[in-house]
Amino acid sequence: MPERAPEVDNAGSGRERILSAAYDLFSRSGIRAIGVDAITDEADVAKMTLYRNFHGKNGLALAFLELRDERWFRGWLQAETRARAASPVGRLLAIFEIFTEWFERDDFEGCSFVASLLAFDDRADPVRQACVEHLAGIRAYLCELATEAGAEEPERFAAQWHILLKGAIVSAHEGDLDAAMKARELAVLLVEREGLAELPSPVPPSGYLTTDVTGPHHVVRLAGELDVEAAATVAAVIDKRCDGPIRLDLADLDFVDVAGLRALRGTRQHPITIADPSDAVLHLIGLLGWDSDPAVELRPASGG
Amino acid sequence: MSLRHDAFLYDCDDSFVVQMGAHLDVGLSAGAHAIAITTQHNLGLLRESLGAKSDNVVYVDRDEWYQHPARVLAGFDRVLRDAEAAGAPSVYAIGEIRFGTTPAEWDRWTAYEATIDRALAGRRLEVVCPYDERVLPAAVLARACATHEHVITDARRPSTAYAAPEAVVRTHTPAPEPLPQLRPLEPPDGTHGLRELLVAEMAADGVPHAAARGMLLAASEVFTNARQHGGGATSLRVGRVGTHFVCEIADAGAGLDDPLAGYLPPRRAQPGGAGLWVARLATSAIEFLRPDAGGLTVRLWT
Repeated sequence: MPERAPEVDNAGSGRERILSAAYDLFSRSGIRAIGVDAITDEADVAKMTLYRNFHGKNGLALAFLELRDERWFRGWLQAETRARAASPVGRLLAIFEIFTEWFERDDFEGCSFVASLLAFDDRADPVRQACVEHLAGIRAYLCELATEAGAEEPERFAAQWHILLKGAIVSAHEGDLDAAMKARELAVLLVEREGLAELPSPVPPSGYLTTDVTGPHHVVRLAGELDVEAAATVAAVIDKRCDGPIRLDLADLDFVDVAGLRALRGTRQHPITIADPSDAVLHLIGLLGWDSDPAVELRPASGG
Repeated sequence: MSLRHDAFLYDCDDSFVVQMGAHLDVGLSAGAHAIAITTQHNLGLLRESLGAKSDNVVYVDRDEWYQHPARVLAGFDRVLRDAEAAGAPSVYAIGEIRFGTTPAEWDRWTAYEATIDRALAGRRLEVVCPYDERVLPAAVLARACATHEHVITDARRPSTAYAAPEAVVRTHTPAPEPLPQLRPLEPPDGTHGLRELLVAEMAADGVPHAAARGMLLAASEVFTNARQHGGGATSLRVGRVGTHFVCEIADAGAGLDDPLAGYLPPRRAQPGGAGLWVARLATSAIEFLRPDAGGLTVRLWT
């Protein structure tokens, strides 16, 4: 169909369409399982366009891994950890929480770097080498956080952390959606062994807590459920780590009972600020009349 | 100064306006907060009578205020705390209850009247409850003398028929039905397990979100009480009764013989006691059953 050639020749749009199709297909089914035809069909371009832009499937696979690194690692995982915690340990542990949410998604696709690594057994294969490099890039980020947190051997620490992350992903493929939280328990042991500061605490039976210091406030973030069974633990952690005004981030607290809410307030003389409270938190605060208590400041999402 | 909770029996508009206008006027002159909760008709009379002073009175339609006894107590508690925070010396209130049309409703609101004397004891509240002799049944009017230490007719006099609030609440709380249709479930080990169970049961029964949220909170608190005071839950029954979802939690502890449990607003200073308060507010009704075998069974209704 030579008459179509001039249109397809628009290298930018053809390249983007191919890469976009390859991204979807490769990340879902793996590089090995997807043929060139499937991609050109999906992208609705001529096969020639693919060869012109990527010099074949290998070149396209390398471009895909690069894009995966940009989108999945830098644009998502790294950005999310930074958004969820300010401290290096908080960020390291946030990965498990992010992974849990990822595992629970219907479109959970797994790690393209690990999958491709296992699919290409020739150590000299450039695709396999690229996977090794991208995985090393992720480990470098972990190492950076471990160094900031004060780990004695940050590279070894990062490698151990990475083993937990990769193991959790494989377990999730097996069907264990709780794998990241199980790995997190081991990760907490690592943090404890290293004696790193600001260790977030799991809140039984299904919540967890992190603390950070931002400006004049100690920021306490709680997610999941907080009830009477965890109240004493939470009160002790907050008491130990926070000695000034507290800002509570309870946006992801799905359930809280009276004992749990009291634990957050404790016996402190400092006022508390509750930023972006969840529906469950607002409900109980209303029933207890804390919303008109001058020592409790409620700040909705928009107020930051 | 402490709580003053009077009944006012009236049989004409003039009497209402003179007495209740004067009541609010005294409060306003003393710098108190003033709130009038009554019928639309009476609100109109008060507005007209108070004139410019009306700007300082909060007017509330009693049909909106008197829907759920525990929430009414919480409402007064809030009004009082707001007044304290604003530095007002007290709150002057008019509270004309909507008694409804059935004997069950009369009982419910009679019990509520009795709880005020305990729930708001010691608070800086001067509340007068008008009873319209033209429309209320004789039984309800007679009970006003049992639930108020002072009754105003042509003058304010101590009531000789005043009875202890606990006794009034007992008399007017109907005996719980056995509800054999509830489904027995194995009581879970923890509060998290309880909520998981209830979420599934309520989803199966199509309980709306807000009601389900209240039930999860109330059931958690009652379950916690059973563990802390009753040696743990020994049985759990759930199911739909009419338009309500019911959850019943039983323990084998020493039992609880306080008809006013959960009606006292929690104070920050008290470490416990807020669980049942929250449970009452988060549900439409709570029943306490005292089985012959001992222990306590708490039944929660969405």
